Amino acid sequence: MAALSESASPEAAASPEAVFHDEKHASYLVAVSKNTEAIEFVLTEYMRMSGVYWGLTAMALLGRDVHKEMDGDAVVAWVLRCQHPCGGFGGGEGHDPHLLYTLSALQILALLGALDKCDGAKAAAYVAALQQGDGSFHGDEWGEVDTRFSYCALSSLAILGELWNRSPPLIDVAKAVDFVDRCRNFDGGYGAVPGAESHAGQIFCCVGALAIAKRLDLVDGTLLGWWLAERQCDSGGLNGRPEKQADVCYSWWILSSLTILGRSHWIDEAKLAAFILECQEGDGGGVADRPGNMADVFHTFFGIGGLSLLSWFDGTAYAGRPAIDPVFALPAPLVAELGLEASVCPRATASLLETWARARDEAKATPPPSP
Amino acid sequence: MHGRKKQTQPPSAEAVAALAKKAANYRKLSAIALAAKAAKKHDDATFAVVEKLLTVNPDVHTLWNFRKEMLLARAGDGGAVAVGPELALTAACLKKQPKSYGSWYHRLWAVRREPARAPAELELCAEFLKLDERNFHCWNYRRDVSRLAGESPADVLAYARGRLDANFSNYSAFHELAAHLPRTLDRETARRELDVARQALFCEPDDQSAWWYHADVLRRCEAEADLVDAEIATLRELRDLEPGSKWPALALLRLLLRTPRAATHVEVARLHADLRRIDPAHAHMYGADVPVI
Ligand SMILES: [Zn+2]
Repeated sequence: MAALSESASPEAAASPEAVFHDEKHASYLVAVSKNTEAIEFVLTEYMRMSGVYWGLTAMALLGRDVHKEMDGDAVVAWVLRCQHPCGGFGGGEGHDPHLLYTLSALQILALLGALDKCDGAKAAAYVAALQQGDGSFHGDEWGEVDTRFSYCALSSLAILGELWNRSPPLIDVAKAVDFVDRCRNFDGGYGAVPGAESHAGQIFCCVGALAIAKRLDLVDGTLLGWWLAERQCDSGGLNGRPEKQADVCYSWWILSSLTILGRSHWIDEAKLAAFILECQEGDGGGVADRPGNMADVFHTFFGIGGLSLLSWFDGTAYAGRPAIDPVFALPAPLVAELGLEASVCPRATASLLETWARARDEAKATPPPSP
Repeated sequence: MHGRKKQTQPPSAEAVAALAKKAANYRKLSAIALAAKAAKKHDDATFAVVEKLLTVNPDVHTLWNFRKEMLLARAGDGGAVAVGPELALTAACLKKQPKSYGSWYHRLWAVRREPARAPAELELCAEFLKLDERNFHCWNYRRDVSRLAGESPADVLAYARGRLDANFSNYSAFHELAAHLPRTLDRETARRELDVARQALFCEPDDQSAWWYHADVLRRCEAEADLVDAEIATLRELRDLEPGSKWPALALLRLLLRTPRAATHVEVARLHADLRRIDPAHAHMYGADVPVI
């Protein structure tokens, strides 16, 4: 069935700002993936794997046939060429393997139903070998440590089906959890390493890692939920840290974290949706970081992902599209099909104020561990 | 990918041609570098190409890795890598791109090989944090070189307090203070830290930075009843001065809900209603019902 024209969509009549440029976004995502001569393409070649993951997932959320419209066979062949003998994947051909791109590669293969085509055992061994004695993960053989890599490792192993039920286990999940917990801060958020400031992107990685490890009990949901909710700015958009500008990519990092914590209703969801819609490029398609800026594939994915988490498509002409999973950042039906498990908190029924009023009777929330 | 304004007019033919030339040139050099990496070529010409590419695009981890490989190979067994040129190169890259993960990590890798350089690195951090006081990459790097330089917690705190003296709207600096607080505060420390927060709160009650620190300090001194009572009085005063501000109302309500002996239903109900009116975006977070004290 041909997609409905934008002017005919029911939400367009309600408010001119509420137009979702469905067709244009799809053409934009296809065009960007083919415009290999552009300077932006050339300069980001080292992280193409993530770019392709963003583009494919965005297309999947638009309800498209990703395999057909994004040249799935060629993408799979290319991803396989990026796997190194060590098992890790590079961001592009000739680029070094890294946990960031290993996760992106596995997500792409999962999207295209081609996980069995790569050497999964080797990929899992590569990931596992990067775990350190303190539970943290190096990003690659050069030794950088960051909680982003903890998420990449746990998610990668989960997608490969190698996280649980292995005897002996490939990694020490309890230690991985312990390291993430040591990165918890006074505001309930998480940083890149112990002692580092809370940042929305980092918080998603840590909350996501704890969700995969089924240890959300370690998160101070009230405090962190409050901090995350206060990221909403007057514009309706979300920022990544206090006193910073709103940016569409935080629609994903913050909203997914709030969803995992069962508190997405602590922000004004309609206002956030309006902000994301305002960041669309009306002419060429795609979503930008802020209104009036140039679109890119990164913000296009996070913008569409944000709208999906907000269930914004329900009740529009675009209803029935796959929702995005807040932990694995893949279409929910695919996550179910792969049997990926993670814990997600039920929607919090107590308000922040009620929790505060109650908390005085209980043991006071433990402050984060001292450095 | 951030902060690029949409062009109102299509770029000129010259601009398009210049970008195309830049892209073609970059692509050519990049192919040379990656081929050399695969062939384990470590000669001067390769070294120069990789350095050139890194100055243009400091985010490419593969090229930083290759540079490290070449440095180690060229130093030979037991030879030392010359750290000075690495500091010069990463300084140039970071001036161009202060949020480049690869550049900060390469710099740390180099300094770890010659920790005597760490004290000078603290000065570089000071320069970068003057340009962008919230650059978390630089704050993170500062923590690493601070350890290498053997700074004491008191030195670290003095630095963070200095940043707050320059501008109290600095959440990164408040984070640093909070990270060093003990689990429970003695009266003297609590009083001092509440003062630090208060100075900021009274200047700019709508700036969140200090409010989070304020809440944290209070959480760590809840047993000190007279301190809490004094803070409630202070917040009532601030609220009278700034009736339209959300944060004084929220902080006061939080404290009252945790200190029921000081609260009345009337005051709690009014704060609850005011918050829902001033900040309707968070209506669900506040809840529809007045919390019971
Ligand atoms: Zn962004």
